[in-house]
Amino acid sequence: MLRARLASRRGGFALAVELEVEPGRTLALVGESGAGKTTLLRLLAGLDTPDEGYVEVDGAAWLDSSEGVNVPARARATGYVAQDYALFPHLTVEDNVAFGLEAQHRPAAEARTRAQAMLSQLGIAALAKRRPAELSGGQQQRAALARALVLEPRLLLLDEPLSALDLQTRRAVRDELRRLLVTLSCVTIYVTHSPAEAMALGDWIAVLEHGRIVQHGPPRELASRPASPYVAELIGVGAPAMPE
Amino acid sequence: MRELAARIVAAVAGGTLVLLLGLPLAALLLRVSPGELARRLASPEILAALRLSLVSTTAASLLVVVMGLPLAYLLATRRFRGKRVLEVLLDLPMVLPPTVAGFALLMAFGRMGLAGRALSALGVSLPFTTLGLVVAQVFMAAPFFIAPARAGFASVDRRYLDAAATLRASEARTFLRVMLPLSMPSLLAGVAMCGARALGEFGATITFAGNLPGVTQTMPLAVYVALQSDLSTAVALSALLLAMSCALLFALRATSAGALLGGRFAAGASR
Repeated sequence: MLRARLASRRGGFALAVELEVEPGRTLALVGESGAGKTTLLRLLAGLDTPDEGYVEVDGAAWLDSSEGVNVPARARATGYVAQDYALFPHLTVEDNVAFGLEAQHRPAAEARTRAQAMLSQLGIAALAKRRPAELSGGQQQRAALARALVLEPRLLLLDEPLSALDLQTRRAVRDELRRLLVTLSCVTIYVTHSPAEAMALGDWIAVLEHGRIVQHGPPRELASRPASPYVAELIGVGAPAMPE
Repeated sequence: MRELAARIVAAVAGGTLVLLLGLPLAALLLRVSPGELARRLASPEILAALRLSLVSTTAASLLVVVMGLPLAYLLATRRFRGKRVLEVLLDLPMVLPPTVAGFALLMAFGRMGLAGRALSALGVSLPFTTLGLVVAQVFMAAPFFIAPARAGFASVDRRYLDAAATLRASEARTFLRVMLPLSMPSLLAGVAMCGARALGEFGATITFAGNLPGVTQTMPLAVYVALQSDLSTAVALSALLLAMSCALLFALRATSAGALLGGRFAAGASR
């Protein structure tokens, strides 16, 4: 369970967002570039600090500005897959995946075994000894996912995980990702600029515009009843429905 | 027509500089036959100077790396009060005349110096000792390591540091497993530059540590002494130093090839 309220102002950009997501569910956060999607993920991960707000995951306070609580990124149980994956270029895929386990002082043998198991689960066990530069975009994406998931995060943050892929692989990887997300027990936040991806992957969709959530709801409701011309245009369904 | 004139001027100017740099080296190597060179190099004084140079340069480089890494990291990753002053202080030896540096060292660590009395109370004496020689080399060579090391740390992509943080790595682990390997080409280049500077150090050494054969008389100092009495020994020593400098330069080239490799890593990991 994720509960969060975040307010942050940087230069001319202001973000003010409130979120509540049930465990096991995926919130797809859709918006154009510059809407504040990455900013929001970084605040949730603890990579940046908001001016004000709180983040609570499974009852644990990660951030509470009124109480002066701010758990650093390295102590939050998040899995973060950045837009360009940020796999360590000098480490093999397996070492990338084992990195976080070793950082938690797991015995090296256990870290290996668990990393390999996670790689098999994602179907890239054969690539364990390769460097990220030798991988295709789709393989890199899976390696980055494996690296995040092996730590059993309570909050999984995915920042445009398909945008680095070419159109042909995107569809296949998207379907695969959907099957994977359904099996996870943690909260997932899936950030994308693509309404189609949001529709396919989100249990719930929130539309972000200029740092604010302008509408949220289940995919079907968003498509049938867009609350504003912006949402309608974004989702691609013509004019907003007339008020009843 | 005008273009031709410009080309001629450029060729003459460039050619003169190449001659100016190349001719002394050729003169040095043509001066003595290879057999004579080998015989001279086997003499005890030269071997002593060579040994001292190698030992002191290695020690100084190691000290610079051990003491310089934390500073380079601090300068690359933190903002703090007095950072400007610290930067100037660390760069100063690069522009300071070496004799002035040697004199300043004497004022600080000499028997009557600022810290010298405390040191001698501990039974440590720096001036005119091999330890003092190493201190002079560290003083002069440190900036040549710290500057590239700092630049290397600063150029590590933030994305990797963020990734390490979300993978719950401590700052120390992130430094050892991510920063250090990703900036290795810069660090190696820094070590080569620092080693070259320490190997060639003359002014600060002779001022602070003196010119005692076997104790503080490194190869550059031995060249200077030999020049006044025994020209062919000076030639042999110079040729040897030249060869060592060339070897260092080639090593440096090899590490910049490594830097290109690092670039490929980074490009491969991004989209």
